[in-house]
Amino acid sequence: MRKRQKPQFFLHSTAILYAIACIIPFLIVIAASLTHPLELSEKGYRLWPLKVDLSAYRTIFENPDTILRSYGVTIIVTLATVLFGLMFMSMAAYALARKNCSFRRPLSFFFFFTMLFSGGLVPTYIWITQFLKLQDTYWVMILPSLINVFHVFMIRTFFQRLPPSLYESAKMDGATEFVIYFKIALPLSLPVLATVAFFNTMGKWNDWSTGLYYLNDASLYPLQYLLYQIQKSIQTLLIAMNFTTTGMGAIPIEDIPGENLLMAMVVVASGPMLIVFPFFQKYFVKGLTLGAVKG
Amino acid sequence: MNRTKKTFSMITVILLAFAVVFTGCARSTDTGTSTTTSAPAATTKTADATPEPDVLKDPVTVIWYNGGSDQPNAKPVNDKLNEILLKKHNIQLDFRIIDWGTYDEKMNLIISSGEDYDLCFTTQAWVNKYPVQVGKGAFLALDDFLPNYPVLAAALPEFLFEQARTEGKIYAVPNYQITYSQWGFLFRKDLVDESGFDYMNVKSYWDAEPFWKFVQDNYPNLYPTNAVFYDAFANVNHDYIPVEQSTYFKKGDPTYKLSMFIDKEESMTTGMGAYYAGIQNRTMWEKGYLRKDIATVQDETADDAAGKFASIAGVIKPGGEAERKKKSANYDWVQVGVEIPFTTSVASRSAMTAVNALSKHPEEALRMLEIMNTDPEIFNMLNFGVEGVNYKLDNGKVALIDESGYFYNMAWAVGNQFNALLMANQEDGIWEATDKLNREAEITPINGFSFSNANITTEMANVAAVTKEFEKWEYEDDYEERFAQYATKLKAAGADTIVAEVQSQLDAWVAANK
Amino acid sequence: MAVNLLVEKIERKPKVTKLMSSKKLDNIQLLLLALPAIVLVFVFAYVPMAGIVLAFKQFRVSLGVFGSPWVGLKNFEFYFKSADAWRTIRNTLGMNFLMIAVHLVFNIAFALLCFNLRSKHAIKVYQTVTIVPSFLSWVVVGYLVYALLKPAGGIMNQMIELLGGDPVKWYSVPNKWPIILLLTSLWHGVGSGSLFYFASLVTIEKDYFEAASLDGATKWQELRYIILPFLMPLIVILQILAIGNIFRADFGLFFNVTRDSGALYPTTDVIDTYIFRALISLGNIGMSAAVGVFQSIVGFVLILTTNYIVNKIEPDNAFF
Repeated sequence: MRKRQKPQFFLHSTAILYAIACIIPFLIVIAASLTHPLELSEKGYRLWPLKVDLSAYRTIFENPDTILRSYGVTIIVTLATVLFGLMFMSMAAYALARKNCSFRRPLSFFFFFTMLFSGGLVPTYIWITQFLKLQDTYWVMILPSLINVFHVFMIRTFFQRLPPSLYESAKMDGATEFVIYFKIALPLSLPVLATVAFFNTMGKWNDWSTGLYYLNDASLYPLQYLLYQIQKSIQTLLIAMNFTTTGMGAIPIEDIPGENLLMAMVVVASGPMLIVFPFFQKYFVKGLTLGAVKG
Repeated sequence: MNRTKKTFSMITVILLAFAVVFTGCARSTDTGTSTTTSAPAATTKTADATPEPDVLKDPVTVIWYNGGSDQPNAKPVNDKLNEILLKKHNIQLDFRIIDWGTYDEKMNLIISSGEDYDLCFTTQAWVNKYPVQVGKGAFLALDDFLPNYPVLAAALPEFLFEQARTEGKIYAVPNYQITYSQWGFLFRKDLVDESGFDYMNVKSYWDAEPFWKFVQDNYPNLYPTNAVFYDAFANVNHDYIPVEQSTYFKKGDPTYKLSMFIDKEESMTTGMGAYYAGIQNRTMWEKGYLRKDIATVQDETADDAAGKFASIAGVIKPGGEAERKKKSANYDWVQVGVEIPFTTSVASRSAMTAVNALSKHPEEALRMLEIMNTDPEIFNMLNFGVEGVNYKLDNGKVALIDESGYFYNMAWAVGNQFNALLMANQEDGIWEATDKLNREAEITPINGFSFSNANITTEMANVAAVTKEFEKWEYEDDYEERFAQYATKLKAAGADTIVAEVQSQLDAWVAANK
Repeated sequence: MAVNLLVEKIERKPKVTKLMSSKKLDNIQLLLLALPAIVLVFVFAYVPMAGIVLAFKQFRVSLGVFGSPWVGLKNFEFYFKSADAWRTIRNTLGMNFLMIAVHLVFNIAFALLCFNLRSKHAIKVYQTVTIVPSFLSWVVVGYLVYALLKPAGGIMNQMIELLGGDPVKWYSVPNKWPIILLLTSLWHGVGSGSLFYFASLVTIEKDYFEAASLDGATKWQELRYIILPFLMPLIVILQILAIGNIFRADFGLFFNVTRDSGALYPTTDVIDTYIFRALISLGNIGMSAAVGVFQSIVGFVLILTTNYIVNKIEPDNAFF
């Protein structure tokens, strides 16, 4: 046993080093958010602020509406997408998994084909904004991302691997397909559902591009798009400033927020989730593990 | 059977929950959007409530996209604005603000998808690029329309419209603001007073050296200047006329021969181009007038805000001292122009308003532009909000009312800047002075020449990449070697192709217009 | 099992007629179950496909999608004749291959590392901490990388200067970016990626390892003869899926982490960022659509091949 102590020590130190590497960038950002902009520009980024300066957080929390609203939007959208997405995807996956479904093959192809071809951004944009008129609504953040075809197939595969006798005996008891889906297939496939939910939650929480295309109303900005937009604004204004200094144009520039404020936004927008998500993560790992047992 | 029933009831319950959640969503979106985008709907309602008997035609709503920050409390202002617009001009405005950061991307999507709108903000090279959009056929040619709007045409100097002309037609109305540019220095007033430096007599770049020396000797914790040597200082009398893509020709040269001055000898003899400027900068740096870490510094706004610069090179304009004071820790500044005021061929394109090629009512769109450029009441309400609610007039100057949720303040992006009310930190008469200088400034001999980059986009991107890579080469130890590499790479990236392309377009223009 | 089958056989016979009559009912129910997904996919995936015609048109805003003139393959020609085609294809394939390979190694390595730790508590802590980066969007990751690489005052340059080196203008030296992007993507993905393998590893019967250690097998032999064969199906499936998508790059990574810096395009411009730029910055809708169609077609071939191979190896995992 003692002989084994040594490799354990090496394994632990490697893991600890890697874990530290995972956290360090975030620490730097926290430190930067607590630094006065002038010090940040003079001394640069560091792991620990020389002098703690709360001005960035004061600015944010003096007017917390923006960020709170974004939190609200993101939570609503993520919950709705994950819940209804899971429901619709598993329902479709069930139909695909049942051998007695006579339109199984064409339906598979119907879904599968969308993994290969897409209309591209402009046609999708025209369709969504001019015909469906979904811009600047919650719908546009939820509806298009409800069905992830890849996940449908993932759930289908899981359903297929459940022992066939389960379906058969239920059938013999006179259960309808609805009942089998709800009472047998769904409860038994919690692992795969948990995994899909995990991916969907991460995907939706971190989605920033929907906002870029379809949202103009600042009260609907989800968190990640808010962050993207702030960063882009600064870049755009710096470019404009560049034009003025080279004498090309005469675009007057508003005040540009300091980097400490930016970094504080990052902390406020993603920090709480970093505490909440890992808590759920252990259920997902359990789901994955169970899934592996079944698989 | 019993079970089936149960399942069905379960489905019903879930669907109901679904419906409830989504109607909830829909409702909240309604309230969400109404504050910013559905203003016209709201105003039509108010119009219904107080019917105007003398209104013959239903007022048209003009949709106008512009950049700026989101105004949390825009609805009351928009309502009021539309009330006045309806009474005075029988027209309605749906003003949609997109954040500057995503304006370019969103405008491109809006235009590409043929979305319904009437007016939009456009610039030569910054966002929603004018040449690109004209190339796509996105904007309406205004030549046939403009004569019908004499008030608009009279309000703006004629060269303005000429500068918007591209491919033979005018596709946008420039927003009238400062149109010339003049380079010079700003000095911190307390230091000027202390040193007794005669700043008014600075006629060239190095004339400012005594001041820098004084700061260096007496205030070691300040940076004497941020003033690196730009082309503008090489060319204070405009002996060389800038064309496009950093190309110049010598004033009066009948052949209009263009050069980028990449060649080292040519740069040294003419005093133009990157090499000469780089050498000046290096000398400044070695003498200690520039910050030591200048090679790696990118954003100096924080130092500026802390008042660490004793002098600054920049564009000199009426009221520039006050603007600088606001930026630099409230120090007082004095300014002096070094370069002669000069209007380049596309100067007014830095902010323009174009009409959508697909606009359903171009006449009303131009009418709205005319109003915005000539009716200060409307113009100022859009920029500052409602008097007494969003701002107060204090000695005739705008004083914000805190937390009123509206302060758009983008006069330069909307119309005639010179109709804007003055802010508290702006001097009286600043617009009149600017307007005067605009009209007096030397105008480029090639006014109206515009350049289409369609044939050389690849070369332009390559050259831009090389320029960025070799940015601040002059502060490296082996700067001569670096410059040699820079010059070689510029040529390899297609600098000569660019010069040739500009030359051929310029030649064609000269042949047609001179 | 045998008894069960027997029972089924006996019971099935008299029920045949009933099953036949309920087959229709079953199908209706299944259709109803699949209906929401069918509608959503139709509305948000199939309808916009009509826009593929844009790839063959010279788009003029004033004429609309269907009114614009046909130009045949001109848009494709324009792309393939430009220097960008080679560059974007090379970057997309190169970076994706690199990432797939390196991710595989690191995912398995970290899964094995955790698997070999004896303290359950420690495993949980490491996994929880290392998965943190996966929760960050690319926008946020872009900010984090910027704090490290900012030319003036970024952590990397401070360290370089401390060691007496010359600061690097990170956002304008393209040749350093393949490795930066690779490291960023490892940092972002290994924590969650290794979970798949870890979850699979813990299901290996303990008996194998006991037997192996009784036989005096080394750790290496254990890996070679027990662990790898066990993981192989999972490895194959995941890699094949990744290769099927090799023509699509992670837009968020290449766009946000590089801050869309033009100087970096020689190594960081991938097909997805190119399509975006063609559309948004250059406003070249036709070419943007053409490149998108090209990407779809290559993806189509790759996925069909993939599906064929998956079918051979593990039919259960095949798409159709």
